[in-house]
Amino acid sequence: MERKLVEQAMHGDEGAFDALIGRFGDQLHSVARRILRDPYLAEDATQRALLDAWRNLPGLKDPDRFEAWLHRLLVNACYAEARRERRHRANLRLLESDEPAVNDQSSRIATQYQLDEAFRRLGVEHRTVVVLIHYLGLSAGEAANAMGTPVGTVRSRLHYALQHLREAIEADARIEMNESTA
Amino acid sequence: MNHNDDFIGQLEDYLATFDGVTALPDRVRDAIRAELPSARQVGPRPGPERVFTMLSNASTGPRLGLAAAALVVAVVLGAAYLNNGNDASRVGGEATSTPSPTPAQTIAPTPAPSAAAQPLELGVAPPVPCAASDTSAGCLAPGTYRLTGAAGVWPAMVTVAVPAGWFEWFGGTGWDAVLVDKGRGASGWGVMFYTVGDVARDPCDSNKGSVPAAQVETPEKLADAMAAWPHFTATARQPITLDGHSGVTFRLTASNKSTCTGNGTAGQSKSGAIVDAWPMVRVNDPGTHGPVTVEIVDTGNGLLVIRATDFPQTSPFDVSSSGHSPDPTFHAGDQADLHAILDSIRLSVPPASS
Repeated sequence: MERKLVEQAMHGDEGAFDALIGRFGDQLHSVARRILRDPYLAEDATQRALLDAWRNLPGLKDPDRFEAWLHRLLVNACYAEARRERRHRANLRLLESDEPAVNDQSSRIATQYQLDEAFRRLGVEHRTVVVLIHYLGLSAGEAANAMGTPVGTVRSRLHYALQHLREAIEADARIEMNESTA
Repeated sequence: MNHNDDFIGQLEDYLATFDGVTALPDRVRDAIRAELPSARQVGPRPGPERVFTMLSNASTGPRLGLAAAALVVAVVLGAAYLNNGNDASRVGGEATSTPSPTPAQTIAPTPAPSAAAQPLELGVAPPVPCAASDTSAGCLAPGTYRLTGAAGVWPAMVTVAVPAGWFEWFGGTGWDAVLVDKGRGASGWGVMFYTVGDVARDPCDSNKGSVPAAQVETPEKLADAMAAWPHFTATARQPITLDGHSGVTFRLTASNKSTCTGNGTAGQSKSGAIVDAWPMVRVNDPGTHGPVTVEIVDTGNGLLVIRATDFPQTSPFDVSSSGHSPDPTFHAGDQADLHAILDSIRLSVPPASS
């Protein structure tokens, strides 16, 4: 079904492409929001990726690789939007940094708040690899394809990102412990 | 790389709950729909087979013209690929970015003959398979590259010749490495480069704090700080010069008394990236700790550290993450490559600004 839609869209069928947007649009947008942490930039990146997909669809050799190809276009679009965001940092519109919407015990909320703070401090390339692997569930090889980098670079970026996230949480925990024992 | 399951669970929980699943707003869908009629689709380009079929079927005169045209197309497409390795849309995405099964010996990372004429950056090099039998594209094509980082990250433009079967391991800004794979899986074995910020007083105990960067601003002072690491032993340092820049070299070994349970922290790069002590530590992995060679070079624009795992046995990463059994000669055949890489390192220091 999906392959048929891709093949139809490759031949200029706008209706088929619209159906593909319905199939993948929400997922792409969710990924872009997590990578970019800005709702407006995420919308722009998703729009850019989908229009790039439309324009370049006839060059796609294997319709079964459509989703992986979309991920790569989205990552490129996120990088482009992030560069644009750096140039216009004065107009930064970050997502609210309130704790994530979870209704569980306070320690979990605190951990998620710390994760959120630490995640925001990562660079876009490091947020991208974390989102692709730990949100989308891609393998290192699939993430490398989406990011257009060697697998080794994906591994090293993931290692770096996770190390920073862990250390941020541990540092916050140490501060809390010191405060409680003071 | 130890994965703390609890931490990963918390991270994935956070990513799943952050904002939930956010639907693509209707206004974005509408904007895309509105643009489709005017966004012209790019037609499929003829592949190489079609070009060569055309050539073989043509008579001599047209053949020369077609050959010239094909050459132009090849050059243009090749330049587009090399210059836009991260931009799938410009080269037809998967259609042209699929790696060839045996490019490791054939693709050279030749930089575009631009005015800058800089070698390609490691981080943007098109990936190629690590071995002929390798189906993934995780390594670098043999050739000369420069370390990953924007202008100012490194004290000099550092170039290095990479042999077949090696890959870039980018640790963070101002921390880069070239490690061996050769189809055996990622290793922690190779040559590591980093700039110098604060230096850990004990790589295995962050509570002991760090030596400020201002106190380790010469090769000798940095060597002293590293030689003072508890449970590490350092050989007497020897003077070296690299492209006319002076420095020191010594061998550093973690002892069995080292208390590191993870990668350990050597310090920070000048840009603030945390630099692991790995692969000097993780001595709990039996048979994997070996002496590393440390070179510290004063470029006149800041220090550059070059750390090499010049030992034949499996590295800690080979054992803990790639699943190899400890082997005293696992990297013996890679040491010649490693020496060639070290010999190939060149520094190009930017002129001081007036």
